[in-house]
Amino acid sequence: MQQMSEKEIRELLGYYRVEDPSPELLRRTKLLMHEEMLRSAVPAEAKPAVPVLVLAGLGLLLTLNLFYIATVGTILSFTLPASMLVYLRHSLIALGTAGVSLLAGALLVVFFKTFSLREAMVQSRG
Amino acid sequence: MQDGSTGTRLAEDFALVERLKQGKPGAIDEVVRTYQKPLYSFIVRMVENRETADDVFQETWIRVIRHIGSFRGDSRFTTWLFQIALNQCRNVMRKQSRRSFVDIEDVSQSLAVEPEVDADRILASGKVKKMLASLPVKMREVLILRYYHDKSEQEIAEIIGTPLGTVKSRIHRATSMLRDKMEAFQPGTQTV
Repeated sequence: MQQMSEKEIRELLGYYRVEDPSPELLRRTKLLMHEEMLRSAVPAEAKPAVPVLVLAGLGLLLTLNLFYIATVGTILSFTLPASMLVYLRHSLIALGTAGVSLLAGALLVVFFKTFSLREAMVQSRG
Repeated sequence: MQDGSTGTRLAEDFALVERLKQGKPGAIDEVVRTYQKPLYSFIVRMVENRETADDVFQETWIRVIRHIGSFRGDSRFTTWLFQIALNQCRNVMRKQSRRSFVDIEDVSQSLAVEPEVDADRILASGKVKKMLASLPVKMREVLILRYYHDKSEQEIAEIIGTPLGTVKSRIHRATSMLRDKMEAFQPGTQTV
């Protein structure tokens, strides 16, 4: 018996056609994909580890500053000569301001990161 | 060597994957629109049941989104997509006992939407479907990828996860088996 050629095989297989996926199936699938994208985006992008560590570090620094102001600063204010007190006061104010500024900056970064993540999630949903 | 259109397709796929990874709006619509037809027809021919195929189709796309971050682009996106779909089909087929009959209503429903379709064609389609279904799953996989999706032997090897030599011999064996069945079941004849 003569064997069928590859072309003939293709021709015969071509009889078996498959209908396209229904619009309803596509709609449901896309919806599930969007939900999955949101689910996988949140843990990946909203990992709080780094910002939290930075915030904790800055918080600790600020606490140490305040501790320094409250203890060493107080002791020095009693022991230092009156002419040096102005420098002491300036240094304490500078340290306190630096600590508060760093902490406020870190808080702003965390706030905007969360805000932009939420924005991205809303956009991907649309 | 890649021709121009293949290169363009690869570049488009790369850009699409990047957009999916970044969760860009519209990326999901675009990727589904691009691959819905080949993917769905592959799954339907593999699992032989439309309802099961719908579930596998959904699950495949969900897995694409879940694992897109780990897609490094070592292979083509389509290869990766078909790998996921094939794994899902294999899981489903393992769970279910394989249906040994052809649901001729499935075939006639799918063909009824085409105005030029006649009864002979429906019958022929049913026969071809039955022939494919009668082949062992491993043979069916390579035949569907080779003849319906024009995948190269190398791509098939990547999709089904076997060495190239095995794929070549499997295609050869599957083609011989199909030829034997086809010579017995010509579409014009009434023997099923």
